[in-house]
Amino acid sequence: MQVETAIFQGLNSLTLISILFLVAIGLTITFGLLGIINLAHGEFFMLGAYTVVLGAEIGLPVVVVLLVTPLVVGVIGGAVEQLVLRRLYSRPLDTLLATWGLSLVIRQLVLIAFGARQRGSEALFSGTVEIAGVGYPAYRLFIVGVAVTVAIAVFAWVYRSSFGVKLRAVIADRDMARALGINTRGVDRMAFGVGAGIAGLAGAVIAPLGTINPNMGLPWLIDSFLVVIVGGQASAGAVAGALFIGGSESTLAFFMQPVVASVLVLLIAIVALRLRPQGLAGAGGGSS
Amino acid sequence: MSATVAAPRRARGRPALMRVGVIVVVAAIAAAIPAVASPYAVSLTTRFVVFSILALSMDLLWGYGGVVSFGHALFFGLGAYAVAITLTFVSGAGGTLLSLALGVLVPSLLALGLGYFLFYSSVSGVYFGIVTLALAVVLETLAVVNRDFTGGMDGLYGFAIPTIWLPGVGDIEVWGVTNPYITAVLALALSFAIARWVTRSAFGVAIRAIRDDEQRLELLGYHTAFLKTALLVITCAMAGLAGSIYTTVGFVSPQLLGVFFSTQVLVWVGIGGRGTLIGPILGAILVGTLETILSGEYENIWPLFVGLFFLLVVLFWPAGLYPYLERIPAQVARSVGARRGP
Repeated sequence: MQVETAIFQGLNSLTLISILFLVAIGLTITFGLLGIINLAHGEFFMLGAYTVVLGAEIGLPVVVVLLVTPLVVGVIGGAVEQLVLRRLYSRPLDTLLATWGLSLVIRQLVLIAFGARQRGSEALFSGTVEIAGVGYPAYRLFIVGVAVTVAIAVFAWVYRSSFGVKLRAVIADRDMARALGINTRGVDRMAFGVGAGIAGLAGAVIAPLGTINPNMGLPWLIDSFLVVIVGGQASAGAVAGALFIGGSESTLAFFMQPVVASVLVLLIAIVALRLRPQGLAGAGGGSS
Repeated sequence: MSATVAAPRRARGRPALMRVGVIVVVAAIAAAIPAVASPYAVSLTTRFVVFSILALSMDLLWGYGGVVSFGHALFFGLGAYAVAITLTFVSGAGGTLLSLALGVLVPSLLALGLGYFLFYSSVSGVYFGIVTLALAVVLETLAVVNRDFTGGMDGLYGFAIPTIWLPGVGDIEVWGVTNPYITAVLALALSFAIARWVTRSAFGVAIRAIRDDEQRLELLGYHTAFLKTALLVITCAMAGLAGSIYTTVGFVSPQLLGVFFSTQVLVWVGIGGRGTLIGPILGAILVGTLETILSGEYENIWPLFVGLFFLLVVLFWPAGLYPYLERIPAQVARSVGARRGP
């Protein structure tokens, strides 16, 4: 009995870590590249969940919706970058404010379009899988699989593709990259779009686990931040941060109220910021 | 010809006269409102006056200090909850004094802790914005969930009536319509005086310099982390004072702690004009009035407006309304001068 609880709890931690990674990796990409934090990130997540609602209303198969969602939300992200963020790259604090204003606008437009009521969505499949004598929902394991796939894809994209070379060149030295003929504007827009697209995918994949409403993005935004704060700006930081935040949150939530657990996790993150400003995965000093 | 010669002397004399005139007019309007307006209008004005204090403190932090906080209302709400919880257990003039002390002290202590962990760490200001956002979300949820202590979603009400004891007068209940109004106006005057003193002191100059170029100040030997922490504590104490006085409406609710309220405070300051002392007060009153008109009829439209205001201020209109207001005295002076003739 004790062992089974431990296994179940361990699998829950694994799912939460995967979910946190999926939601936060997009934020890490834009933060690492552009040095700005996108407060509308939670809304891209929410838009992803609503594409599932919309897809179900039109009658599209869930598989198709899951494949189309990253593209739709990614294009929206690219448009946001072009219309709003482009003007603000030299002013990080104003970017914070502008994306926050944008998140309110997106949230409210969705509220007006879809209404405030909670929506549900159908999972790709259901059923349980037996692991070491413990029955566990198969869909949750599917989410772990998606997270691992996305992690590998992002790694390949950044370190093994020709676009990744340009991306890393822009991160290393923007002016030099432009002088070498790299379209830095295009790289910015692409990176932001991909970050938004992954957030949308996360929203679509995670939607069946809970309810869908226009305000669902905010808690995920907060968790993504904590991941980035603790993990640092590097791509590997999302993994380290998700492991740390997901692990401590699911462990603490097992012993106490979820809210108290999130207060504690936030306090841990603040202390971690003081002790290790560059994040768990960061090498040099913190950003000044 | 003679007019051009006389101009410099007039320019010296007029602003001082104008300032005294403005103070007299504002004081007269403030004094006349409870006598003229309906009880509803006076109560609404009291709210706006309290919100003006909050906006002023936000402006000191953001407009002057360049520190972006998405949780400034959290300190307002903490002050309000501290007073309401204290008054639930103790009453009378002594209890009120204790509650007021806690209403200012509790937010200040949280500010001190935040300043120590975030400003003394070598992370950018972006992190401060994120952490305050997270803190506001988490603490609002905590206030909703913990029903025993904070009353949950309903908030707190039915606590003891705040009472002020004055020598020669005795106990005054700060309740109803007029007394809360007078208290709020006096608190705003006090806050304005403090803000004015802060911005004009050497401390204020250093704070503005940090906003413009923190690294340079550090290289000049200033302890910028200490200065920013001091600014945060002062502004959060002011927000706590505003929250304490807000309790005279008779109830406090978790929304006071929340992110959306903090967002609105940023909008007041942004629309009114950050980095000025009048701008935030103007913004709190104008945007607050707009909210009262709009949110009654179209509940979903108001947050949309707040979001659009935000984008507007950040992208196209960083100075806000204040520059237009600043031009008025000169225009008045010009038109008065023109009427008098050369």
